[in-house]
Amino acid sequence: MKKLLLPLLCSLPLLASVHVAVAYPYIGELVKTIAHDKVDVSVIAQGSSDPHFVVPRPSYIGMLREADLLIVNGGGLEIGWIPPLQNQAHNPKIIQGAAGYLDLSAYVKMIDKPTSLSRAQGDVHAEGNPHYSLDPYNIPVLAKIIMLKLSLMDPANKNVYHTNYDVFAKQWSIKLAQWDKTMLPCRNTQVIQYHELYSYFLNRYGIHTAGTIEPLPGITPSSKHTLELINQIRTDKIPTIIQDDYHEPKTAQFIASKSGARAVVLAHDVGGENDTLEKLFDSLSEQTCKQ
Amino acid sequence: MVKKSVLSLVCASALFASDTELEQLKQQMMQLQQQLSEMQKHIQTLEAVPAVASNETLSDEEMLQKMATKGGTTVTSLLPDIALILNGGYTSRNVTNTQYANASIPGFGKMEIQNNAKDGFNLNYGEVAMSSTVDPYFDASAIFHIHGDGTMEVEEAYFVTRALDYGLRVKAGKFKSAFGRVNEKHHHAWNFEDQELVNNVFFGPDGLGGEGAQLQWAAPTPMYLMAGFELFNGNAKQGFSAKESASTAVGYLKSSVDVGNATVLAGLSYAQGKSEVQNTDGLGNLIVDSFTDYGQTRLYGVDVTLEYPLEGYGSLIWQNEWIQRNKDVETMTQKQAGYYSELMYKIDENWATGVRYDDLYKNMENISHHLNRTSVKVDYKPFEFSRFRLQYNQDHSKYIDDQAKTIHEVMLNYTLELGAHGAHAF
Ligand SMILES: [Zn+2]
Repeated sequence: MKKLLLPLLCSLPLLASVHVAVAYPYIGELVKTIAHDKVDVSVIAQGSSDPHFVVPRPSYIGMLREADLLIVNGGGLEIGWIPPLQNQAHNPKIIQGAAGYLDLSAYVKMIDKPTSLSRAQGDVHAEGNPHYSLDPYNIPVLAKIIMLKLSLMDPANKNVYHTNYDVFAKQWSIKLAQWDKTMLPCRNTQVIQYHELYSYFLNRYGIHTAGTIEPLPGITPSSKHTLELINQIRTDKIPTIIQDDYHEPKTAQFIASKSGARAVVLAHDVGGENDTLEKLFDSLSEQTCKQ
Repeated sequence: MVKKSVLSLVCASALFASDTELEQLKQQMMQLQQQLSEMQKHIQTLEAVPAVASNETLSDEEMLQKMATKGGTTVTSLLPDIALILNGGYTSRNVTNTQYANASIPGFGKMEIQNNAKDGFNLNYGEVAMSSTVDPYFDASAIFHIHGDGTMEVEEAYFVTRALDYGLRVKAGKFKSAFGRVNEKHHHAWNFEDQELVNNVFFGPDGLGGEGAQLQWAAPTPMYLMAGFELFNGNAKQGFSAKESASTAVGYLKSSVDVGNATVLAGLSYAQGKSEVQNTDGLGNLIVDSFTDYGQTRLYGVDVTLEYPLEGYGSLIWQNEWIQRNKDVETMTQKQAGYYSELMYKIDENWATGVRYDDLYKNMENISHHLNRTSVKVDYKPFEFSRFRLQYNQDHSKYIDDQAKTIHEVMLNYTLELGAHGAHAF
């Protein structure tokens, strides 16, 4: 009995000493990449659901109740669902402003910050477009933030976090070069998106968003706007319509059939077939820039 | 001693193992570096400028500095969140306004009407809600309810703690009790335009609550388990003593489990207070500070909700709540009970529909039939912050001029949320 207990006793502090809860699967992947088994991670949202409207379930409170660190995407993306969970978890370690609350958006540059705010413009992202994680060049930056944060919270494993980060950064730069190559032929082309969800990815590779299927952010498609889009695609010969994996795809398919453009459904987070970050960006680049 | 040294030896070997792990990783890195430089050479031969957008990033030092300033959150404003909620609509009934205003429910007396009181147009209320973090230790909120006739009341005004340990949280001020499933919710978050019958008859239109204090504990369990205790001043409207020294105590236990995609929420609630009755003079006027002590009023509540998410933005919610009140009056204990069951079908972002059945099935007055009400509704939300709701009620719970009277009512209501309003709990 004692023999069994001993290694258990001293391996405990070596195993997960930090409990991390994260808002989205991509953050969970980054934490696992940096920490391997040194921390335990619980991911709240699913990769296939709308990141703006995650339905808060009481079981998520249990994840937050025990967490030492909560990592969120930030930029207002979780405003509708993380605060009520924090409210009910009664965990002072992870409330906004505490040392165990990490808002990744504070460390990256966000685009499309509106100059004036009115809900007549729909559900605009007041702090700028928060979907910055879809720029593959932002991924190592996010990994580094997480590495630095974990090193602060768990200095005993600092070296492990640093080494894992270095390995990841190297591997990722190889992938970046591949994606640059895949995306090169599509530079200076135009696309239509459903919501401005892929803007960072498209901007990165010089692809211009000529319009969105939703007439205004958060507003369901109208027939008037849909017809305008069909005409625009025909006149400007826009080749591609990008549809996310949580809105209804019918409008995009309809526009495609009437205009001759190609409609593709893209993932926006890790999950399903794209169970790693690399696979996610592999599929994004291959599908967007199909030759 | 021996044990200790063995322990440290084992630990040291464990550390050693992780050192060799590090070595392996370093080797792996070297290989990768080689791979990388080969790749880079290969890319250069492609003569391509890799990416368009520039990547300005913070240095490690800047990142660490931000982290030192408490999580590096971006504070956008120090002003509290302020929201205005407007509700009104058009109502049509088969009884006159006077008849409706004087309708009563046997065993509970005359009902107090707050919304949609008139046949025709009604401006029900404007609600101003403010909330903010006070400092590292407290959050505070205030909700001012302005009725269509211009009278105003402080619906809630309270603070909650942010920084207590052991999963504890304290709330104090004036607030709605978390008894049961719907009592705590504000009108604009209700599933139907009017209050559930059983809540209405036991607690009145404002629900159980008032000036008081609350202690809640979230258990350190992977599944959701919360226990709460509350103390309020006594309140006659809610069936308790209104004597200065009287108080109402509330306790509850709430839990939830996920079963596959579905979520089950369940709660047990209990409330207790004195059922002293204020004495009246010969003319029926209340006499100040004169009460007859009859004993206790006890309430028992059970609620069960099932939520099942559907494709896209749809969901099915089946919500049920049962409440019984045992009230000591004169020489006996009056037992009254009721329940509601409602099924909501959220079709997509814009449309939702629902049915509800309310029933008061136990009553001290000998009436041959159940006091019940059936409701159906359709919600249309053009956008997140606006909602139109069409609801029909067939109400068998009311008596007009001492005669049972079935009331048919159709209501078309609007609810608009302006400004910054905190997200609602599930
Ligand atoms: Zn968005």
